Amino acid sequence: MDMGEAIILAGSAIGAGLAMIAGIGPGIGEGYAVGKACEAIARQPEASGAVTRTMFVGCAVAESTGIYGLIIALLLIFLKPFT
Amino acid sequence: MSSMAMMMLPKVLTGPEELSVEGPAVICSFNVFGLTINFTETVVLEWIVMAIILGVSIFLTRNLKVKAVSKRQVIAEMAVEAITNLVRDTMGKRWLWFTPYIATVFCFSIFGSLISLLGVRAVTSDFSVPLTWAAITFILITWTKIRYGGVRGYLKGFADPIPVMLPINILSEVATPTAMALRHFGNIAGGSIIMGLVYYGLASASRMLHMHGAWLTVGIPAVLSLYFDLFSDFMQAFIFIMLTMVFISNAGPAEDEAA
Amino acid sequence: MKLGFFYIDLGTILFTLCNTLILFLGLKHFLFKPVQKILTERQAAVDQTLQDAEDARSRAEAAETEYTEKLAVAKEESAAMLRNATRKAQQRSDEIVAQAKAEAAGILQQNRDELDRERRRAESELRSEVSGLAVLVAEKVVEREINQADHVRLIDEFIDSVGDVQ
Repeated sequence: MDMGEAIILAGSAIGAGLAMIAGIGPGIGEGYAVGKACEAIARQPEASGAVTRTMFVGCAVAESTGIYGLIIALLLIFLKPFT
Repeated sequence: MSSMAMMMLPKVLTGPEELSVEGPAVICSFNVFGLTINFTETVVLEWIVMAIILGVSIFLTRNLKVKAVSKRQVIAEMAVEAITNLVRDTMGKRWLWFTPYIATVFCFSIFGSLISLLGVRAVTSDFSVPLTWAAITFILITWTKIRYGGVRGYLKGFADPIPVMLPINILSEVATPTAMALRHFGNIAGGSIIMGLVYYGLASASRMLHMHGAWLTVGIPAVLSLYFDLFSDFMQAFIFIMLTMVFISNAGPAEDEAA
Repeated sequence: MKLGFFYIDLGTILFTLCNTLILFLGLKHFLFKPVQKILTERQAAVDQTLQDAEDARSRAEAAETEYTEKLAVAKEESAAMLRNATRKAQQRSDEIVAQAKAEAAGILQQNRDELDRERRRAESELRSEVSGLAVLVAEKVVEREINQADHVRLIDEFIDSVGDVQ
């Protein structure tokens, strides 16, 4: 393994780690959304079905950014696109 | 000594020796009009999944009766009514004809993901598969917009509210299916990679503890598999159909305007 | 040969498109059509049952109304008959009583008349006897022959005056 490849791999690994910082956003956002959903269900238990459904869809949308980060990280680690 | 014993064990018992992250295997490929058409593992697995789904639905709907229903029929009716109610609640009554497509994507997605429990690649961890469904959704969204607004209305929608927004609107239009496909693929593929890592790690740990066979991989991954396979697969299938329904029904006018 | 982990494959897309279409048609044909048919049939059966029950109820109500009316009419009739019968019986009994009274009165009258006639006959007999007797007595008393006719006239006058006094 020559030096250049090693640097690229090291950079990819660091990049993958940095990409996973994207997980912070969805984590906070989804926690907030679930908290609000709990409040909504506590206030109106009869609407729990609709609230839960909406919450899951919202969470899924909020999670996309985290998923993008995950995909980038996976690409960097396993596919090593720059080598 | 231990490596000798491991050599004799079948590969299933020794666990993965290395972690491989690869796409599906290509069984054969054709050349049609200069395009390479690959016939991959994924397609074979899709056929298996389709056979399972159709077999189950034929089994469930065998000799249906109006009175004195069997358990099979109750399950079939509950499934049909549940998905019909979901479509009615989410999209409204005029989209009820859409129900079989939603059921198709839901079943295909969930069984295609769950087939990974049998030890093969999940169908949905091939990016082309969710991308196809997202493309269908995109086509349906566009079709709905043109149907209710006309071609002019559809094109005008891109310059809404001011013409400067044109690139952003085009981007958001394309981002919708891309995000759906990526989300589905990322969740399932990420989950399978994490499960692969867990198996690999546990198999390595077994080897390090000089076990004959990867006994640590028995039972322990099941807990993680509950989340990464069962829950995640179900949620992704559900979210995919929910987003499909919401986007398509939002592309048309509101229920009371259309009626 | 294996494809990449993150690879958009045209062949897979085309096959997936076809498979999704086939599965869509298959599910529609094998699951949705029969189940929805059964659900529609059941709905129709339920509707039919409800309709039948509704019909039966309305029929029962109609019958009940009819019976109530008939019952009222019958009661009315029986009451009328009773009244009629009572009236007739009353009438009849009145008639009978009146007839009996009339008969009794007739009989009484007849008896009275007979009695009267008897009395009169007895009186006239008595009178003729008395007058004969008186003539005889007078003959005996006066021992003289007077005109029979005069005597009779005289005695009759006497008896009349006696009768008047009485």
